[in-house]
Amino acid sequence: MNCDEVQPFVSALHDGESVPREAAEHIRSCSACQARLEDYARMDVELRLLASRAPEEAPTEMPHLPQLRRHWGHALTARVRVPRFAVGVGLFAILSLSVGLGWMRAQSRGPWFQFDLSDAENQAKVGCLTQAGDEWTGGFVTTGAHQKIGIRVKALDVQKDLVRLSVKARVFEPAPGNKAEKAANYTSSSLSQKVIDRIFANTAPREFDYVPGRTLEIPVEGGGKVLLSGEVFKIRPSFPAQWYPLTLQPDEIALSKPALARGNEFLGKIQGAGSARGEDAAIGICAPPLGAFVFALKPFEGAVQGVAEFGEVRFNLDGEEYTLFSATPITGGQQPREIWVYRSQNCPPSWKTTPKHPSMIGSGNISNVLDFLHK
Amino acid sequence: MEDGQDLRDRLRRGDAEAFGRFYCQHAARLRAFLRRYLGDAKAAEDVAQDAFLQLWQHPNGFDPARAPLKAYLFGIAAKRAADCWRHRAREEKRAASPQAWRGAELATLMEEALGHLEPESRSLLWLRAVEGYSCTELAAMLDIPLGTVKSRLFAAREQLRRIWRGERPQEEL
Repeated sequence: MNCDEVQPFVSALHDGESVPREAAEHIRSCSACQARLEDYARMDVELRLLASRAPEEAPTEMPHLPQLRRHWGHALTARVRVPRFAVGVGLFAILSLSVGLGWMRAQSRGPWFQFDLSDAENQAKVGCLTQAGDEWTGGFVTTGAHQKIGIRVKALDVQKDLVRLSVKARVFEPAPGNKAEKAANYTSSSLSQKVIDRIFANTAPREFDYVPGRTLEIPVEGGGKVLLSGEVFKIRPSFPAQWYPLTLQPDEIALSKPALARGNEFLGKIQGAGSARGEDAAIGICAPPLGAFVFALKPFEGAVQGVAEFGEVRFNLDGEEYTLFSATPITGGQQPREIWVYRSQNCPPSWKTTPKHPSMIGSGNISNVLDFLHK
Repeated sequence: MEDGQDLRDRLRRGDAEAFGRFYCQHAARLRAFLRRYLGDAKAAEDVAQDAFLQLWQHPNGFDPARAPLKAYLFGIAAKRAADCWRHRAREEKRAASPQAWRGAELATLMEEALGHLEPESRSLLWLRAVEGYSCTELAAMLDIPLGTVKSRLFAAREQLRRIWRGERPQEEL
């Protein structure tokens, strides 16, 4: 290093800082740099002497200190001008918050119990959400090709680690049967409360203690069993996790918060949700006035081929493009994959739905869903 | 001697007595520093009063973790002095010449040499050599990076050294 490079380090050394070894060695052996260092020291001494030689000043008066307005006492008692409008808005906000808080407290009835009901083969699944003290809830699940099970559940007590349940479960025979019982092969949403009450009128309730996270086997009146599994939530789950599975098996089909579009025309959200499993798995929706649509994982008579890709099914009918959307994957396995879609001009005669709003018909195997459409 | 957190708390509560003690301890040195900076006893007095008033009215600006209260006061004063200097230069349409502040006070070679420096360089050397602030404290009180403090100190020392050793001031070359 030369003197020019070392100069800044001389200043740093004078300030009591450490300098690089090379710079230190140069300064030690260089008379010019040592002279610079000595000059710096002498300059400091001269500056201090200069300061000490300054004439003694007469003490000047301290500046007038203005009154500070930052005392809490003053701040709390000081008058402030607030527009009447602001006062009104403030009072309204306080009132609204009080009412809202009271309403929320009144609405709060403890934790929520969200559960799935499925048949023993896990072919069809029904999801439910309830709280202690709610009315009966539940659904209808299909077992095998012919046996249908209706199940009603009431939560008597919902705690974090234990749920006390009252359950009614019974088997329905396939056709012949009355219209209501046929409808019961699919989902409870197709039936009025009056019909459901009649179906279960003679079914005795049974009580169960359920540990959240496990699977409860519920014996069914008339034979068979239904599987119940669920979780307890402190607050209402906004997106029921088990009812809307994110990972489906290749032989599983499901719709969660679905919606239907034709070209660029949005036909509406579809009320309800459902799933089915097996090589014949199918799921149906009713979209008046277009009619009913049945989606299946294998070809069947009258169905056209569409494409399923995660939460979307695209298909073409009568020269028009349709898209079915779902909040979760519609089927499992490799994506995109084939799916078959059948359209019926009319919704089932027994189907009671709001004409303007599409709704789920139900899920199960292809023959059951089609049978329901045509009868 | 009161300083730091305790004194700040007292100032925040509006304790005029504590402020008065602090004023008596540091007013003279602050004015001496400002006279060197501005070269004008009257201006130095005004800036010193302004700096003390700012401290009284806004003690929350002081962070005891960064530097002592005295350093904070000198930092306020240095910034106000710089503003004052710039304002005066604009008003008078002339750079402050050494003669503007030397006046009758010129007594030593060092004093004359010091007068040839830029005000910022002069104040930096003064705060370092006379007031004894470290480079880190200077960086905190003047709100400039530590590296800048070191490089400015070096430049100021070199300039002063050249003048002090009889070389002509750079601006006259």
